[in-house]
Amino acid sequence: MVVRGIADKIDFKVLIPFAGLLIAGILSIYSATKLPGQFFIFVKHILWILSGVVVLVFFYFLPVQKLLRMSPLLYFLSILFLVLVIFMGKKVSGSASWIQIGKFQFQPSEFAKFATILILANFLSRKNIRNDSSLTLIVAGILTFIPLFLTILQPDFGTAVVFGAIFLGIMLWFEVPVFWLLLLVAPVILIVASFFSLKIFIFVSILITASFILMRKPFVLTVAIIAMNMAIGLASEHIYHKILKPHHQKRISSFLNPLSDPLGAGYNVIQSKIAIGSGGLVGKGFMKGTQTQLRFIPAQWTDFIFCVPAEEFGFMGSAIILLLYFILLWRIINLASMIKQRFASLVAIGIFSTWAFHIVVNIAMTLGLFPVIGIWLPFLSYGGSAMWVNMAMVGLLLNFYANRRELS
Amino acid sequence: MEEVARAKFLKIFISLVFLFFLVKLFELQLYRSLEYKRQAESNSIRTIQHDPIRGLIFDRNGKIIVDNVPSYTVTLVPYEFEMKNLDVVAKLLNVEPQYIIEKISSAPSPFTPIKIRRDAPLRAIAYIEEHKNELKGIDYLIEHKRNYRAPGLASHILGYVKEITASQLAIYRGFYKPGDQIGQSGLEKSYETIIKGEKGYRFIMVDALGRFVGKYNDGKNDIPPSEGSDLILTIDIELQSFLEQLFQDKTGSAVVVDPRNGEILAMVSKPNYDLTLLSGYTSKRIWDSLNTEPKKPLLNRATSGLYSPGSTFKMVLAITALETKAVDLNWKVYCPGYFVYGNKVFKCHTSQGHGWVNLTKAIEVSCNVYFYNLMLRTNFDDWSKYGSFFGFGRKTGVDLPEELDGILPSTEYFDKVYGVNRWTKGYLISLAIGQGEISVTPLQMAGYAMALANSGKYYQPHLVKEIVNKKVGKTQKVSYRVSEIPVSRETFDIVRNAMYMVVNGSAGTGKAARVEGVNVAGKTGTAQNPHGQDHAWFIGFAPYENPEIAFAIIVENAGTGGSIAAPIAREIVKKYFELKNQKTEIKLAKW
Repeated sequence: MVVRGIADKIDFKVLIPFAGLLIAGILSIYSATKLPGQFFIFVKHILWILSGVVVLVFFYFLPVQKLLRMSPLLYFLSILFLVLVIFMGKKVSGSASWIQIGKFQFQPSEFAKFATILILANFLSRKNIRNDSSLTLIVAGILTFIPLFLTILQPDFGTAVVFGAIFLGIMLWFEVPVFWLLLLVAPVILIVASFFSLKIFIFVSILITASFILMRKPFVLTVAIIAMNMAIGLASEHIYHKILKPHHQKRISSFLNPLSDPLGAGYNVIQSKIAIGSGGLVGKGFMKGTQTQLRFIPAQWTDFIFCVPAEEFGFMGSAIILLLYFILLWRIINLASMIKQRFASLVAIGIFSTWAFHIVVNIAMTLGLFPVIGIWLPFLSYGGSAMWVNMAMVGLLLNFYANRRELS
Repeated sequence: MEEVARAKFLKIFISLVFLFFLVKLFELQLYRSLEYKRQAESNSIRTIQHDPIRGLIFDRNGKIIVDNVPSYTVTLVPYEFEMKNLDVVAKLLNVEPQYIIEKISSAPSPFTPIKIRRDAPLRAIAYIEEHKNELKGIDYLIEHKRNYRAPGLASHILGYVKEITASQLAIYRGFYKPGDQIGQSGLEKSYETIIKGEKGYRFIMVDALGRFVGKYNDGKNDIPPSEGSDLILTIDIELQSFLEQLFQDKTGSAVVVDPRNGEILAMVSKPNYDLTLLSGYTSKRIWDSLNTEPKKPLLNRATSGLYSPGSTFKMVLAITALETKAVDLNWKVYCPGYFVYGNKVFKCHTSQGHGWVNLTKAIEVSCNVYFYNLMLRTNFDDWSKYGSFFGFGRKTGVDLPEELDGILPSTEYFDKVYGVNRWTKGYLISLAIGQGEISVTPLQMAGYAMALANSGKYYQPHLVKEIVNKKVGKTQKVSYRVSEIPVSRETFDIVRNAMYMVVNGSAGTGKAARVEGVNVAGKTGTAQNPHGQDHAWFIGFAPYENPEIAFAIIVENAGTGGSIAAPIAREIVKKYFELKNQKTEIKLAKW
């Protein structure tokens, strides 16, 4: 009875993968920083986790209605910080995304992800909002675009894309007509495709054109949309050279051919693949990965943390981590389906979108399948702001589960 | 979209993506794992080459001629090096900027240090130490360089050691690496494999910045370098330096051999060069000047200088005639001072002539007319045969890398050069006195003198007596071939007696070679040459009764053999016995 009582209040399908991933993160960061002069990172990571637990507990007990009411304020604050960071931000590797308050540093953009999820869920859960009204889409779009635009100004292209992912996930869950979503997504997909190769660009163009035709919209509209998309795709060359910063250009070109610049932007990817590949089936053993221990991957404890378990625990280790993420994501979908209250359900899907995007892009990055755009891996990467926000998200998910009956 | 549909869509989406990741991980970690493991290893394990110490070179009495001293070698890591520092570094090291650029562009890897300057001056090292932060990628290491007893002493025998060239690298692929030292001439080259030692290797672990983090496998896989073997030469360095002094302002060569075993006691080639200029870094200016100098200081005249032997070759004809019974000692020729053959007049070296001369007298006074007549009475190919018995027309096989064959003509040779029946006996007349189409090296001449001294025993002349293998602590004698020339004792007695008369006879041309207390035998030669004054030859041996040294001397464009070369022979013989007596005295003192 006791166990059932706990199981009723605590969602083990969220908690267990979460705890497993936290442990994997602790081990990985320990391994990646165990050197004099770097070990403080591990200590700080532990401190972030411990303080993060407080955040988690806070959000676990926070009444959902209160959160709903708080969300406009949180959103406003996060926008304020994003504006502030542009003027007084601390520069770290090319972008000013940090705000320093005393000894304390934090990343407003992480906070803004959370706030954007809340404000979108808040807005869409209002009584008179209809999912087939273009006004809904426009307002939600503006709410997303403000933090997205401010993040680009930092400039932090990678994080900015996360807002797009959040928007897309929530809109999909809100059952906005697929045609509209496609309308929004198509240009982005085309731009990304144009960075790869002409062949891929043509292939993706045909796919998108076909989907638009299948939508059976009026002929003139379809033609106009297709033409516009093509124009955007073709203009991306211009965007690439004029708008993207040189370090982004380099990352994209080195992603397409890592060996073109083996010690520059492509270096991390080459070394990361060597680390992962050399892990083999069972890995080189904890603290015995040469790529990790000899620091072939700079600042491995942030975006390239996945190589550590992959190298030291091999295919077994990396498969277990994938499995934990998979269970977690799967669970959130079920949770979001289970909860009938619109706000909570949309928040859950916002969390899903954030994590799914981070996990997919980060692992794709370390495997050399995607350009390096500075996206952390939830629970494994080092980073205080992200850890707190993730802890808050876990707290909310557990909260929703515990209160699932009231939220139905 | 229904409630279930959107959830299903997301589930299918993440399932597909995760499945794709799993496949990709399978490919990297299982399917291509070996490839990545190798890459990870080469990432972190560096092989550090440890150059061995080159073997030392001693003279026959155990005196060190060549050893090693530490020197600074400046290295450059192309990847770290900043081109803006090029001029500073070039000036500092006293090299051309172009030289450094060439080194960089031929570097095997941008991450491994390349040696850009051996034997760098100390002030350059001090500067590098002080400006470590500005001069990125520039470092230095301590290596060994050759140290010579005296600059230029025995330079042609020893040879120089220098960084391996691109073409040599292609030949010795796998055995040498760019930047390795290799013997480029002389004994350093011919004994390279023995003297160089074996490279050692250390395996170390490095981090991403190439910084040393520890020994690989605790150094258990390391291979220490092994020292090269030492060479003990046949050279007597005292005699060698004495001889070089005798030749100080002369051009030419001299070789002194011990006829009892073929050991070369001294071998001089002048002009010589300063070995220290060629080991380490050699500026283009010095290299060019050595190569374009008309007197060719880099040429080892003893083995590669080709000269007409002049009258010193008369003994070959004398021996041929006696052995083939063409003439005997009673056969005489009247010398009026000239000889007419067809419509050509061949002169003897005195216009008044030598009168009636027999073979012994003809050698003593070096009568050309006698030998012109003798040549016509002798079979030409017999002459060639006996010439080749004495080692002419082919390499002596001395243990030096540079040696020429010279020319010993024969019917076959003339047929080849002029065509069958396109040459006459008149072509042979000047050969009688060692002129015309014949060329020899001073070393061949020394071997010839040795064979005459020995009455036929010909030892392969050589420079290395023993090899000291320090690894196994064993001294190994080097063996050389010996042959017996098929000429009768009587013939040798006649010819050797005539050579004795050259020095000791009243009319002898080599009287200047006389030494009190020692009987010297020999033969002068004055080789005419179209490019100026005659070359002066003297070959001989001493003591006449029981020869201990045999020698050949040539002084280029100096005059007659009797006046120029014979006095040098005297000095050599004197010095040899002086040194020998000193040694006996020391030995006696020790007793």
